[in-house]
Amino acid sequence: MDDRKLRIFLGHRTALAGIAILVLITLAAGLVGLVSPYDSDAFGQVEESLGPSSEAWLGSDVSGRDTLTRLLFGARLSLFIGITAVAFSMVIGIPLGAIAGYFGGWPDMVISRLVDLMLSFPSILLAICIAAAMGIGLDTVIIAVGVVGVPQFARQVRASVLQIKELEFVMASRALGASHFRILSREIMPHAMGPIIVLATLGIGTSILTAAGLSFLGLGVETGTAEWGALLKDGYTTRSKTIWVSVWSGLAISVTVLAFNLVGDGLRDAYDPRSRVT
Amino acid sequence: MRRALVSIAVLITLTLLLTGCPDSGAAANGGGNGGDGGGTAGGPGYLIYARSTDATTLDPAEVLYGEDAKVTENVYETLVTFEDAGIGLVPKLATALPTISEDGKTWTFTLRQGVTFHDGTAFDAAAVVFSFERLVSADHPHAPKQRPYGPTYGVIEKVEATGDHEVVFSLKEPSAVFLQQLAMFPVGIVSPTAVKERGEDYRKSPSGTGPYKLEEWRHREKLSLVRYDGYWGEKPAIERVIFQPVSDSQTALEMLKNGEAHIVDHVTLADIEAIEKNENLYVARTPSLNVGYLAFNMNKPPYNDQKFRDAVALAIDRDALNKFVYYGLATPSKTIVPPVIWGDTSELTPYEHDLEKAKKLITEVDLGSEPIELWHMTFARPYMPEPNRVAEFVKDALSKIGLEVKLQGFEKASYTNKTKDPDHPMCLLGWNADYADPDNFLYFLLHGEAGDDLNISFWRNAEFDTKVKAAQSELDPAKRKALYARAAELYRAEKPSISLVHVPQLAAVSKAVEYEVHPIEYRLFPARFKTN
Repeated sequence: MDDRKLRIFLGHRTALAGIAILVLITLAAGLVGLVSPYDSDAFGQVEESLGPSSEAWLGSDVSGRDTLTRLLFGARLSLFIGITAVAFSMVIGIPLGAIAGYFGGWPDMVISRLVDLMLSFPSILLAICIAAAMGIGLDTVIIAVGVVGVPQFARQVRASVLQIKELEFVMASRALGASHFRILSREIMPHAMGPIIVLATLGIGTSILTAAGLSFLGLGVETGTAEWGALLKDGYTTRSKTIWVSVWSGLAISVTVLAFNLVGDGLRDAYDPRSRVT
Repeated sequence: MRRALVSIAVLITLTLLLTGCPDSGAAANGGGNGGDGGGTAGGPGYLIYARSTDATTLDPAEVLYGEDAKVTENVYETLVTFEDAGIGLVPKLATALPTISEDGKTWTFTLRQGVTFHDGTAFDAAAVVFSFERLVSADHPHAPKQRPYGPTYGVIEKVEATGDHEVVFSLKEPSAVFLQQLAMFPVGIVSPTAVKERGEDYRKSPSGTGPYKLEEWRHREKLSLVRYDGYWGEKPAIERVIFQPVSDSQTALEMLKNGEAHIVDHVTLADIEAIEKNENLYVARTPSLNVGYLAFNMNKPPYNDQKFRDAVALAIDRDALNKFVYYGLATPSKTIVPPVIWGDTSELTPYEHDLEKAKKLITEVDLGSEPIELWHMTFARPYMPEPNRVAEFVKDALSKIGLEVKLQGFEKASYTNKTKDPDHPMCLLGWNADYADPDNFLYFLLHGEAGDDLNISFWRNAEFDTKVKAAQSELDPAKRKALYARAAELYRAEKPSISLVHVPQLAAVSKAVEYEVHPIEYRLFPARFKTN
């Protein structure tokens, strides 16, 4: 990010607010193990007091587990899932998009149709299908959510590459006899990174939401894991007693996804001032 | 920025939708079922019974699961049945309890006259013989594909019609439990004409003599029974009963509050307090005749290692389980037979809970290289209204003795096959009594002859088998008790499974309906709408 972009980004107050929220969540999630007197999964640590109290600030669930502790351990897991799922999408999506955009012809034909096909499925449905086929577990969630994100990256990268490959410096490089791989990796991709960074930031938010959806449906992480979607479900099944478990975890998901979106918007404005919405 | 605002709005809406407002339905539900209109006096003419899942078969000889029995027990009748609110036996399709020969092997029943099946066929001794023969012998031309309870009636030598309305059972040996077994749902009497005509479709279009007959069955949507006008006894007050599968008990409860259902039989125990506070609802209950247990695979290491099972048993604190999973409403188990059936349980010492001892034992076990797994159902059963939480509890308890457990949850369709899989590790399951005798637990779930559908531990213990088998034909109550006491001792020592809790049968009911939960059967025909 050059100085001009950084200046625009730093002048973007809502994006900074997003950064602040994310830093706060990351710190809390990182320190919870040291600070909290409770274990995230053990039953019966908080006696009797179900509602918020001095003992359990955000209340406990029916099994006597501290909600705040579980929420923060859940933050670790949700952030981890969000980031790794997006990384998964990028690792598959970027090369696909680059190949399609750069070579055109039948590789473009095949990849683009595949991308269209995947985009025609509602993303949560696609994730559910994958998760149902693979069985529950953390790796399932990451792959299911990651696969859903692949077409977005492929499409974005293809569009960028199509545009950039016609520019003079690429032609110059080609005239000098550079290999396809070199042209793609050294000349084109560095100039296509802006939109990818924006997409990745927004994608983490979406991935967290999709992963929570899967866990809520019982297709995500193993039952009892402190994960936001699972907590939402847990509070929901016992909502006549511990509604707050759902409220807090729902709020945590909302705020985190919002923060990623704010940062993503700031980045977009920095990389592409023309698209700025005022 | 606009994108951010839209996402925040969507998320908040979703959160609110998902979490709901727990008591919003109550205020709007002043009139109970008043809005339904158009029915018979005192109610809408139909009763909606919400339950966790649909039935799978309505051929009584094929039935294994409670969800099927809930329907068949209202469609079929047996020779004898349980008392209205108890576990004693009274005649039903027979006119009186049987006369039994001196040696205990010949049982003669006189049958009720003037009874007809739903398809118009007259009920007679031939129908009784037909119903029993197709259940007992696999090579009967009209035997159903599966006969889970077939072996239960293995004591029958032959069934003969000695007159139009007289049936004689010859038994291989005297049986102390046969009369109880004659009241069970698998021996609901079927119409021979209907079975022969409908063949494989019979399981979907049943014909019994019961107070209700099948009206319509749309799989996974609803199953409706309608009053049988030709019924010989007292006809039900409510014309139609609609069984509606609503897998999520919270949704079912909302339906109940909104007057869209009248009975919900799979309430989570967490909701009992709120239901009791709601002025339009009440909780119908009966003492526990069930057990929730954890079964080990006795053929698979390390689960087949006595020390492993001892350590697991020592790690589980049943009082904590009751408090944090069952809201204190269950009874911590001492043995697999529920206390109501066992009688005085004070002689049985509670299972020991000792983490230090368990930690020490587990270090002596060769755990192998595969992860330790616990399989559990994800659908509610009376003995495990929140099966996931039970699994989490066991996982947590075992983590305290250094045992890392992987949980695997299964839906209903696959779980029944999973538990009889010879390669399963340890599983959570339970049992609802079919009849009120220890035999229904000890023989059914643990005896070598029981079949691997039910003996999911695949346990074989010669002494246990001999005692339980001997108790079946022992007519002296004191001697039977001694046999069962020894069998229970063997069970508790070797631990093919460990019993966890006994849970009362509970249902949430609209105050517009009078309904009692029967201790053993699922009887909807006595239910009625209140007239006010």
